[in-house]
Amino acid sequence: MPHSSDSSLEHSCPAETSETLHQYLDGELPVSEQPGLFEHLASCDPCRQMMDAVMVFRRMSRQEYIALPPATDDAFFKRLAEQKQMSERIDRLSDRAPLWNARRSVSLRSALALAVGVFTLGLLLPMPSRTNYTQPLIQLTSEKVDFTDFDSVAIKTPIFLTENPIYIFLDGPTIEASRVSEADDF
Amino acid sequence: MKDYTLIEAFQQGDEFAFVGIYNRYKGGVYAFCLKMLRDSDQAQDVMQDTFLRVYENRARLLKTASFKSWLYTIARNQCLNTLRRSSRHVGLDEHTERILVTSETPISAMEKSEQIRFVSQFLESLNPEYREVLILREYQNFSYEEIAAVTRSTLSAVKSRLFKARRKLVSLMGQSWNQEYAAREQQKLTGN
Ligand SMILES: [Zn+2]
Repeated sequence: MPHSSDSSLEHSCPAETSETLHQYLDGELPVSEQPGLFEHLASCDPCRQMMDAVMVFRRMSRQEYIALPPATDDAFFKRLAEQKQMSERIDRLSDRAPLWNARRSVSLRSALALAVGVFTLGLLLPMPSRTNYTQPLIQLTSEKVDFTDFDSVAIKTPIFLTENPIYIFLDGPTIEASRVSEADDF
Repeated sequence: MKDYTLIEAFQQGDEFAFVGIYNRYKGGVYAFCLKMLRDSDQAQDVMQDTFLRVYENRARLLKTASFKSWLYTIARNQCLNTLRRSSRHVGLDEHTERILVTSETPISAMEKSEQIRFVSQFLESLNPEYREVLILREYQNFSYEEIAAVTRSTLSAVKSRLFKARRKLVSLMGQSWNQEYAAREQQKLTGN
């Protein structure tokens, strides 16, 4: 008898089993838990079907060879050069990040030593008041997703940061807060 | 050169290291953007924007261990901005859903090009918050933890979205498979 409806395909497993299957498929299931899953799979059609679907999708998604168009590199480095020029001008104006502007005139070794020195010093010093670091440096709870409005910015226009963005890097979440504006604003 | 060395050199002002980083990651970032946006021109632009921002913000890259997460977070945010901009002009969902459902060919008999189209259309049928999770998992091979970092979600939110996206997939594929299973059952019965 042919199956008459889709009802047999509804996933009716308890959530834990289902999660276990996904973890296995994603390489995140400890080996010790695998025998239990296999046992379950032997008797659960919906789970086997889920497994098939994920594997088939995975295989299908590997069919496509995605290659970056070669002209992109040239376009990128052209934009990078423009951005460098622009930001050097901005840096001179605002006296920000002078170390980066000065890098050509100092040897790599001394630049490096200076960078490390400044960085270490920066760690010891209190935050300068012009930045808005009123919060502690590490904020794990911040969940604010700031979809900055790029509407006024043509895609090809280099984007410059008008204020220091805050990127905090931990092993876990990454937090970004930034504002952008058109280069013309400067 | 190891990733870590490259990023450290880049942080310390080595321009060649930046080129090395760009070359190492551009393909992956582009693929991510392409799958998110389904538009090669937009994907190229967003990929470039991403690396320009990486360059511009190099001094703020404090911890190298999560460079990849940082990079993809930037790319992801740019993709979402682009999608927000373009979604005003294009209504995605219903259209692609219809194409997928009415696809005549059984999954197992699909040609390579049909398979690629199926995957693309399925991705497009997902809301961005589901799509990004599936792409990061299946194309970028990110762990749950890494996906959570990039999408700035909790681990449980990542799993829930991924599993939900896959449930949609199984129900979609199931419609095709149902017929194939039925045919196989029929064969078994007549074989006895
Ligand atoms: Zn099951």
